[in-house]
Amino acid sequence: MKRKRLLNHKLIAGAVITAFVVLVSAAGFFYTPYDPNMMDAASKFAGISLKHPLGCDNFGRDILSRIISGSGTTLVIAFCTVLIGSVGGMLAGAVTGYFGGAADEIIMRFNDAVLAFPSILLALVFISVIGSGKYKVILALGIVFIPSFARLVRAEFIKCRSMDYVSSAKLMGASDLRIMFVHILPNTMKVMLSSVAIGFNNAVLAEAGMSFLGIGVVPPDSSLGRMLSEAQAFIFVKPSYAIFSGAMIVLMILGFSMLSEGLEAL
Amino acid sequence: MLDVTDLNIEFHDHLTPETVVNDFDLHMDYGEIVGLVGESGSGKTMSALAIAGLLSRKNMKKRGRIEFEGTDILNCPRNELRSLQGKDISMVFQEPMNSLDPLKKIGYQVEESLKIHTDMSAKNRKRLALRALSEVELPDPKGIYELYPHELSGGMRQRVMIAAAIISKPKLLICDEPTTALDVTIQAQILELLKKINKRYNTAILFISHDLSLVRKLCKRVLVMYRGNVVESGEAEQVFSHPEAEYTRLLIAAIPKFEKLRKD
Repeated sequence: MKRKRLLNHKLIAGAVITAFVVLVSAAGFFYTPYDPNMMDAASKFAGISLKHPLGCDNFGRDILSRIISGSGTTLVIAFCTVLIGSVGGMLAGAVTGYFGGAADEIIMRFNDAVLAFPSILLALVFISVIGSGKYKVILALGIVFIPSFARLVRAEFIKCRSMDYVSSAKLMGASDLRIMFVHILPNTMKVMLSSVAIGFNNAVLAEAGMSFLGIGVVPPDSSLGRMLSEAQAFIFVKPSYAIFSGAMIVLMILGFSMLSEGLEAL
Repeated sequence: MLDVTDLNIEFHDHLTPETVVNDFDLHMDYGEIVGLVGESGSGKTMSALAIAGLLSRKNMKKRGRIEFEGTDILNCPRNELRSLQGKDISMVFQEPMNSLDPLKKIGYQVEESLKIHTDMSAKNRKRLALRALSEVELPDPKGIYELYPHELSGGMRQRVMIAAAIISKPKLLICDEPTTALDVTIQAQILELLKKINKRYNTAILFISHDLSLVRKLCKRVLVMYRGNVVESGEAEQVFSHPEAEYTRLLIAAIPKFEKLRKD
């Protein structure tokens, strides 16, 4: 039997960019050319050189090292956010989509309420209540991400619920939990995959945005958003600082969104 | 074995309740093949789903009694019902394209009821699954065990469904239009297969169809349904040669015949 073509250009390009970004930031946990927080007054605003490939910032910190470790922070935050969002959304979507009825109404109305606020605003509210910092950003963004996943999973569950293979599993005496998680959930994975990729995209943006506004990651942790906001003050003195950290964000977003579109086209 | 008395099913999901099955009675003995015929929407599938215990417990009202080996299917607790389903009662659906989980291998799906109802080892389960696959006359059971549903044709999938349905040797097999989606030669093969299974395991079969000629070939007894009512029931030969109800007569007259076609 002829198989459908498995790869497309977007998928390949997205996978390559994402792999590059992930590898670079993963390597950053073990090795950066300099300590990203090491200040060196002598090399303040140093230009591009062999010693500092991307130059140095206002405290004389090596920009390349900071970008590498900052991407790591950003990616970890994005990963945890998407994890919380997708697992939470999966549970909520599975319960509401499968059982329907009162549980569906209650959870989905709550869902609608969360969706009604712009997600950044909602995350802002969370942060102002629980305080800022890496883990709190993860928690806030994760909760904000739940509703969109929940909707998606719910729609898929409703679609699959009436399929004959679900009835036949029911007829084999399978319990509700077994049908939900052994039979239906794997069938929602195709849709989940592409939205997980786009979720990464949104999480990177949201984290960068929050850190830029100064309510995300707190110093001395570096993150791409924080670097961008630091660079803002020196944009005319040292434009490469803003350009390189901005470029890294663009690269991440580009990779994840192409990956998502590629997965969708599968 | 199976006793259905005064079964009434009403839908309550619209403003006015709607009766889809009215005073349905059915008695089946071990090893009996009973046909249930009627046009679309006559309530035959609804009755079958009720017997299989598959009807949703919301949005509809059911009256009457369905008793399977002493268990009241309509009112028994869910876990008791589940312990019957797949073990003593199995069902084959109309659309073989949708009735297999697209992401699970054939072997997994054939074995599933064993996995749920017994604590058999994986090796024993596989042995029984391979035997069931060869019993439904699929070529190369070992190869098919490892395939995914999309790699099989409609007829093969229906055989897989039958294999999955008979693996735990049920006492009652409900076939809801099992051959409607298949072409004529495959239909005949599936009928033969059902007959064989009936003989070998003494499995009672409730065969639902709108195709009278199939029912006539397979069943000893038939029930004719129209708009939720059983309009006629009796020995198949008797019903077909001397139909009593007007509707049965019309149904029989509606079978396309060669001579009639030529005259037109």
